[in-house]
Amino acid sequence: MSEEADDRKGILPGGEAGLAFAETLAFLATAANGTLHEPKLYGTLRLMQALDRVAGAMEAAGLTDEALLVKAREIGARVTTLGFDQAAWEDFTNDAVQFFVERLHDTHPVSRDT
Amino acid sequence: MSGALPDSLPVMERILSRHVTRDFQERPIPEETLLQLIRAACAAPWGGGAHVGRYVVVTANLNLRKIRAVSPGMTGKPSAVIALCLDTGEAEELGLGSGQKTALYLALGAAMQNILLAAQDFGLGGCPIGSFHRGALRILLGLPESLEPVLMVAVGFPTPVDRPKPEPPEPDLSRFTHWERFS
Ligand SMILES: Cc1cc2nc3c(=O)[nH]c(=O)nc-3n(C[C@H](O)[C@H](O)[C@H](O)COP(=O)(O)O)c2cc1C
Repeated sequence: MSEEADDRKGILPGGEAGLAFAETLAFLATAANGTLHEPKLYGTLRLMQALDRVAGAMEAAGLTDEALLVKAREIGARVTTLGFDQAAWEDFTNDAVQFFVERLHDTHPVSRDT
Repeated sequence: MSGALPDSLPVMERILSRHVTRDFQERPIPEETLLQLIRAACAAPWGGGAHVGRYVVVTANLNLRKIRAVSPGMTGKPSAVIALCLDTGEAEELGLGSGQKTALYLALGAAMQNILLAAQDFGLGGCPIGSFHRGALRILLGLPESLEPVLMVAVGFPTPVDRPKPEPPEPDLSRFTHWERFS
Protein backbone atom coordinates (compact mmCIF):
# COMPACT_ATOMS: atom_id res chain seq x y z
CA MET A 1 0.00 0.00 0.00
CA SER A 2 1.41 3.42 -0.89
CA GLU A 3 2.15 5.96 1.81
CA GLU A 4 -0.53 8.26 0.46
CA ALA A 5 -3.17 5.56 0.59
CA ASP A 6 -2.06 4.65 4.09
CA ASP A 7 -2.64 8.24 5.24
CA ARG A 8 -6.26 8.01 4.17
CA LYS A 9 -6.80 4.62 5.73
CA GLY A 10 -10.35 4.30 6.91
CA ILE A 11 -11.44 7.67 5.58
CA LEU A 12 -13.97 7.47 2.81
CA PRO A 13 -13.71 10.23 0.23
CA GLY A 14 -16.63 12.36 -0.79
CA GLY A 15 -17.54 14.50 2.23
CA GLU A 16 -21.27 14.34 2.97
CA ALA A 17 -21.89 11.89 0.13
CA GLY A 18 -19.15 9.56 1.36
CA LEU A 19 -20.56 9.73 4.87
CA ALA A 20 -24.12 9.11 3.69
CA PHE A 21 -23.09 6.08 1.62
CA ALA A 22 -20.98 4.72 4.48
CA GLU A 23 -23.95 5.10 6.82
CA THR A 24 -26.15 3.34 4.28
CA LEU A 25 -23.78 0.38 4.06
CA ALA A 26 -23.69 0.09 7.86
CA PHE A 27 -27.47 0.35 7.92
CA LEU A 28 -27.97 -2.37 5.30
CA ALA A 29 -25.66 -4.80 7.07
CA THR A 30 -27.29 -4.04 10.44
CA ALA A 31 -30.77 -4.51 8.99
CA ALA A 32 -29.77 -7.80 7.32
CA ASN A 33 -28.59 -9.01 10.71
CA GLY A 34 -31.44 -7.59 12.78
CA THR A 35 -34.32 -8.75 10.60
CA LEU A 36 -33.31 -12.37 11.25
CA HIS A 37 -34.80 -11.96 14.71
CA GLU A 38 -37.49 -9.37 14.12
CA PRO A 39 -41.12 -9.65 13.03
CA LYS A 40 -41.41 -10.42 9.32
CA LEU A 41 -43.05 -7.09 8.54
CA TYR A 42 -39.94 -5.20 9.67
CA GLY A 43 -38.03 -6.46 6.61
CA THR A 44 -40.16 -4.45 4.20
CA LEU A 45 -39.87 -1.38 6.45
CA ARG A 46 -36.09 -1.65 6.59
CA LEU A 47 -35.91 -1.78 2.81
CA MET A 48 -37.89 1.44 2.54
CA GLN A 49 -35.71 3.06 5.21
CA ALA A 50 -32.71 2.01 3.12
CA LEU A 51 -34.33 3.55 0.05
CA ASP A 52 -34.62 6.87 1.88
CA ARG A 53 -30.96 6.62 2.84
CA VAL A 54 -29.79 5.79 -0.68
CA ALA A 55 -31.76 8.77 -2.02
CA GLY A 56 -30.13 10.99 0.63
CA ALA A 57 -26.68 9.76 -0.39
CA MET A 58 -27.51 10.29 -4.08
CA GLU A 59 -28.59 13.83 -3.25
CA ALA A 60 -25.31 14.51 -1.48
CA ALA A 61 -23.48 13.14 -4.52
CA GLY A 62 -25.50 15.37 -6.86
CA LEU A 63 -27.09 12.35 -8.53
CA THR A 64 -30.75 13.07 -8.09
CA ASP A 65 -33.54 15.50 -8.75
CA GLU A 66 -36.39 17.07 -6.85
CA ALA A 67 -39.07 14.52 -7.81
CA LEU A 68 -37.05 11.56 -6.63
CA LEU A 69 -36.12 13.28 -3.41
CA VAL A 70 -39.69 14.27 -2.64
CA LYS A 71 -40.80 10.68 -3.15
CA ALA A 72 -37.99 9.29 -1.00
CA ARG A 73 -38.75 11.78 1.79
CA GLU A 74 -42.41 10.83 1.62
CA ILE A 75 -41.43 7.20 2.04
CA GLY A 76 -39.08 8.05 4.93
CA ALA A 77 -41.80 10.01 6.71
CA ARG A 78 -44.30 7.22 6.17
CA VAL A 79 -41.96 4.74 7.88
CA THR A 80 -41.71 7.05 10.91
CA THR A 81 -45.46 7.41 11.31
CA LEU A 82 -46.43 3.88 10.33
CA GLY A 83 -48.98 1.91 12.28
CA PHE A 84 -49.17 -1.75 11.43
CA ASP A 85 -51.73 -1.48 8.66
CA GLN A 86 -50.38 -4.08 6.29
CA ALA A 87 -52.91 -3.50 3.50
CA ALA A 88 -52.19 0.25 3.43
CA TRP A 89 -48.47 -0.44 3.45
CA GLU A 90 -48.86 -2.85 0.55
CA ASP A 91 -50.66 -0.15 -1.49
CA PHE A 92 -48.01 2.35 -0.51
CA THR A 93 -45.15 0.11 -1.61
CA ASN A 94 -46.98 -0.67 -4.84
CA ASP A 95 -47.25 3.05 -5.58
CA ALA A 96 -43.56 3.40 -4.83
CA VAL A 97 -42.71 0.60 -7.26
CA GLN A 98 -44.74 2.32 -9.95
CA PHE A 99 -43.05 5.65 -9.28
CA PHE A 100 -39.52 4.29 -9.42
CA VAL A 101 -40.12 2.02 -12.39
CA GLU A 102 -41.72 4.79 -14.43
CA ARG A 103 -38.85 7.02 -13.50
CA LEU A 104 -36.29 4.40 -14.48
CA HIS A 105 -38.10 3.84 -17.73
CA ASP A 106 -38.45 7.55 -18.55
CA THR A 107 -34.98 8.67 -17.54
CA HIS A 108 -33.22 5.84 -19.37
CA PRO A 109 -35.13 5.32 -22.63
CA VAL A 110 -34.38 2.19 -24.56
CA SER A 111 -33.50 2.20 -28.21
CA ARG A 112 -32.17 -0.62 -30.36
CA ASP A 113 -28.57 0.39 -29.77
CA THR A 114 -28.70 0.79 -25.97
CA MET B 1 -59.65 2.21 37.43
CA SER B 2 -60.71 3.11 33.94
CA GLY B 3 -62.58 5.88 32.17
CA ALA B 4 -62.44 9.49 33.35
CA LEU B 5 -59.89 10.24 36.02
CA PRO B 6 -60.71 12.08 39.22
CA ASP B 7 -58.97 15.46 39.48
CA SER B 8 -55.35 15.71 40.53
CA LEU B 9 -53.88 12.36 39.70
CA PRO B 10 -50.84 13.86 37.98
CA VAL B 11 -48.83 10.65 37.87
CA MET B 12 -51.70 8.70 36.34
CA GLU B 13 -52.18 11.47 33.82
CA ARG B 14 -48.52 11.37 32.84
CA ILE B 15 -48.58 7.60 32.53
CA LEU B 16 -51.76 7.53 30.46
CA SER B 17 -50.79 10.36 28.13
CA ARG B 18 -47.28 9.09 27.38
CA HIS B 19 -46.78 7.75 23.90
CA VAL B 20 -43.74 7.26 21.75
CA THR B 21 -42.43 10.16 19.71
CA ARG B 22 -40.61 9.28 16.50
CA ASP B 23 -40.69 12.62 14.72
CA PHE B 24 -38.41 15.22 16.27
CA GLN B 25 -37.60 18.89 15.74
CA GLU B 26 -34.02 19.80 14.90
CA ARG B 27 -33.48 21.50 18.22
CA PRO B 28 -30.82 20.80 20.83
CA ILE B 29 -31.73 19.70 24.33
CA PRO B 30 -30.01 21.62 27.13
CA GLU B 31 -27.44 19.54 28.99
CA GLU B 32 -29.15 20.34 32.29
CA THR B 33 -32.38 18.80 30.97
CA LEU B 34 -30.58 15.65 29.87
CA LEU B 35 -29.06 15.39 33.33
CA GLN B 36 -32.55 15.59 34.82
CA LEU B 37 -33.54 12.62 32.65
CA ILE B 38 -30.57 10.65 33.99
CA ARG B 39 -31.60 11.67 37.48
CA ALA B 40 -35.04 10.21 36.76
CA ALA B 41 -33.39 7.01 35.50
CA CYS B 42 -31.30 6.76 38.66
CA ALA B 43 -34.47 7.00 40.77
CA ALA B 44 -35.78 3.70 39.37
CA PRO B 45 -36.09 0.74 41.74
CA TRP B 46 -33.14 -1.67 41.64
CA GLY B 47 -33.14 -5.28 42.74
CA GLY B 48 -30.39 -5.81 45.29
CA GLY B 49 -30.45 -2.09 46.01
CA ALA B 50 -27.37 -1.35 43.91
CA HIS B 51 -27.81 0.75 40.82
CA VAL B 52 -25.67 -0.85 38.15
CA GLY B 53 -27.17 1.01 35.21
CA ARG B 54 -24.87 3.26 33.21
CA TYR B 55 -26.16 5.86 30.78
CA VAL B 56 -24.23 7.07 27.78
CA VAL B 57 -25.71 10.32 26.52
CA VAL B 58 -25.08 11.18 22.89
CA THR B 59 -25.78 14.63 21.43
CA ALA B 60 -23.06 15.21 18.82
CA ASN B 61 -24.60 15.19 15.37
CA LEU B 62 -22.06 12.87 13.76
CA ASN B 63 -22.27 10.44 16.66
CA LEU B 64 -26.08 10.45 16.39
CA ARG B 65 -25.86 9.77 12.67
CA LYS B 66 -23.54 6.83 13.18
CA ILE B 67 -25.81 5.40 15.85
CA ARG B 68 -28.85 5.73 13.56
CA ALA B 69 -26.94 3.85 10.88
CA VAL B 70 -26.71 0.79 13.13
CA SER B 71 -30.17 1.24 14.65
CA PRO B 72 -32.87 0.33 12.12
CA GLY B 73 -35.44 0.85 14.88
CA MET B 74 -34.52 4.54 15.09
CA THR B 75 -36.69 5.84 12.30
CA GLY B 76 -36.72 9.48 13.45
CA LYS B 77 -33.83 11.87 13.99
CA PRO B 78 -33.62 12.55 17.73
CA SER B 79 -31.58 15.37 19.28
CA ALA B 80 -30.16 13.02 21.86
CA VAL B 81 -29.84 9.33 22.47
CA ILE B 82 -29.40 7.76 25.86
CA ALA B 83 -27.86 4.30 25.76
CA LEU B 84 -28.98 2.29 28.77
CA CYS B 85 -26.25 -0.13 29.75
CA LEU B 86 -25.68 -2.62 32.52
CA ASP B 87 -22.38 -2.58 34.32
CA THR B 88 -22.08 -6.35 34.43
CA GLY B 89 -18.62 -6.09 36.03
CA GLU B 90 -19.95 -4.18 39.01
CA ALA B 91 -23.02 -6.42 39.17
CA GLU B 92 -20.73 -9.45 39.39
CA GLU B 93 -18.70 -7.83 42.17
CA LEU B 94 -21.88 -7.12 44.11
CA GLY B 95 -23.09 -10.68 43.77
CA LEU B 96 -25.77 -9.66 41.25
CA GLY B 97 -24.31 -11.86 38.55
CA SER B 98 -25.90 -14.15 36.03
CA GLY B 99 -28.62 -15.44 38.38
CA GLN B 100 -29.89 -11.87 38.81
CA LYS B 101 -29.72 -10.87 35.15
CA THR B 102 -33.49 -10.76 34.71
CA ALA B 103 -33.86 -8.47 37.70
CA LEU B 104 -31.24 -6.13 36.28
CA TYR B 105 -32.95 -5.96 32.89
CA LEU B 106 -36.25 -5.24 34.61
CA ALA B 107 -34.65 -2.44 36.60
CA LEU B 108 -33.25 -0.95 33.42
CA GLY B 109 -36.77 -1.12 31.99
CA ALA B 110 -37.99 0.89 34.96
CA ALA B 111 -35.21 3.41 34.31
CA MET B 112 -36.36 3.62 30.69
CA GLN B 113 -39.92 4.36 31.74
CA ASN B 114 -38.74 7.00 34.22
CA ILE B 115 -36.84 8.72 31.43
CA LEU B 116 -39.87 8.63 29.13
CA LEU B 117 -42.20 9.98 31.79
CA ALA B 118 -39.80 12.68 32.98
CA ALA B 119 -39.19 13.77 29.39
CA GLN B 120 -42.79 14.98 29.21
CA ASP B 121 -42.13 17.54 31.94
CA PHE B 122 -39.53 19.20 29.72
CA GLY B 123 -41.70 19.24 26.60
CA LEU B 124 -39.72 16.34 25.19
CA GLY B 125 -40.86 13.15 23.56
CA GLY B 126 -39.01 9.87 23.52
CA CYS B 127 -38.95 6.43 22.02
CA PRO B 128 -37.32 3.26 23.34
CA ILE B 129 -35.08 1.70 20.71
CA GLY B 130 -34.49 -2.01 20.89
CA SER B 131 -33.66 -2.60 17.22
CA PHE B 132 -29.96 -1.84 17.05
CA HIS B 133 -26.79 -3.87 16.74
CA ARG B 134 -25.20 -4.33 20.15
CA GLY B 135 -21.71 -4.99 18.82
CA ALA B 136 -21.84 -1.96 16.54
CA LEU B 137 -22.97 0.29 19.38
CA ARG B 138 -20.09 -1.01 21.49
CA ILE B 139 -17.67 0.14 18.82
CA LEU B 140 -19.29 3.56 18.35
CA LEU B 141 -19.56 4.33 22.08
CA GLY B 142 -16.29 2.72 23.13
CA LEU B 143 -18.06 0.47 25.61
CA PRO B 144 -15.79 -1.86 27.55
CA GLU B 145 -16.56 -5.58 27.67
CA SER B 146 -18.09 -5.16 31.15
CA LEU B 147 -20.74 -2.70 29.92
CA GLU B 148 -23.68 -4.33 28.17
CA PRO B 149 -25.83 -2.05 25.98
CA VAL B 150 -29.42 -3.13 26.56
CA LEU B 151 -31.67 -0.43 25.16
CA MET B 152 -31.59 3.12 23.90
CA VAL B 153 -34.01 5.97 24.39
CA ALA B 154 -34.23 8.51 21.58
CA VAL B 155 -35.31 11.93 22.81
CA GLY B 156 -36.16 15.25 21.28
CA PHE B 157 -38.79 17.93 20.96
CA PRO B 158 -41.78 16.51 19.06
CA THR B 159 -42.69 18.08 15.72
CA PRO B 160 -46.21 19.40 15.21
CA VAL B 161 -46.94 16.23 13.14
CA ASP B 162 -46.32 14.24 16.27
CA ARG B 163 -48.94 16.17 18.18
CA PRO B 164 -51.63 16.39 19.46
CA LYS B 165 -51.22 13.36 21.62
CA PRO B 166 -53.62 10.61 20.71
CA GLU B 167 -56.36 9.79 23.16
CA PRO B 168 -54.95 7.42 25.76
CA PRO B 169 -55.99 3.90 24.87
CA GLU B 170 -58.73 2.41 26.97
CA PRO B 171 -57.61 -1.16 27.61
CA ASP B 172 -60.07 -3.88 28.45
CA LEU B 173 -58.82 -4.34 31.98
CA SER B 174 -60.61 -7.65 32.39
CA ARG B 175 -58.40 -9.09 29.68
CA PHE B 176 -55.24 -8.25 31.60
CA THR B 177 -56.38 -8.69 35.17
CA HIS B 178 -57.04 -11.84 37.13
CA TRP B 179 -58.28 -11.75 40.71
CA GLU B 180 -56.91 -14.17 43.26
CA ARG B 181 -56.10 -16.85 40.69
CA PHE B 182 -55.62 -17.12 36.96
CA SER B 183 -58.84 -17.93 35.20
C1 LIG C 1 -38.06 -2.79 24.83
C2 LIG C 1 -38.66 -1.92 23.77
C3 LIG C 1 -38.04 -1.76 22.55
C4 LIG C 1 -38.60 -0.92 21.57
N1 LIG C 1 -37.92 -0.74 20.39
C5 LIG C 1 -38.40 0.12 19.49
C6 LIG C 1 -37.66 0.39 18.29
O1 LIG C 1 -36.58 -0.15 18.06
N2 LIG C 1 -38.17 1.31 17.43
C7 LIG C 1 -39.35 1.94 17.66
O2 LIG C 1 -39.74 2.77 16.84
N3 LIG C 1 -40.09 1.71 18.77
C8 LIG C 1 -39.63 0.82 19.70
N4 LIG C 1 -40.33 0.60 20.85
C9 LIG C 1 -41.57 1.38 21.10
C10 LIG C 1 -42.83 0.56 20.85
O3 LIG C 1 -42.97 0.30 19.48
C11 LIG C 1 -44.03 1.37 21.39
O4 LIG C 1 -43.87 1.57 22.76
C12 LIG C 1 -45.33 0.65 21.10
O5 LIG C 1 -45.57 0.67 19.72
C13 LIG C 1 -46.52 1.28 21.84
O6 LIG C 1 -46.64 2.64 21.55
P1 LIG C 1 -46.75 3.71 22.75
O7 LIG C 1 -45.53 3.58 23.60
O8 LIG C 1 -46.87 5.03 22.07
O9 LIG C 1 -47.97 3.36 23.53
C14 LIG C 1 -39.82 -0.24 21.84
C15 LIG C 1 -40.45 -0.42 23.06
C16 LIG C 1 -39.89 -1.21 24.03
C17 LIG C 1 -40.56 -1.35 25.37
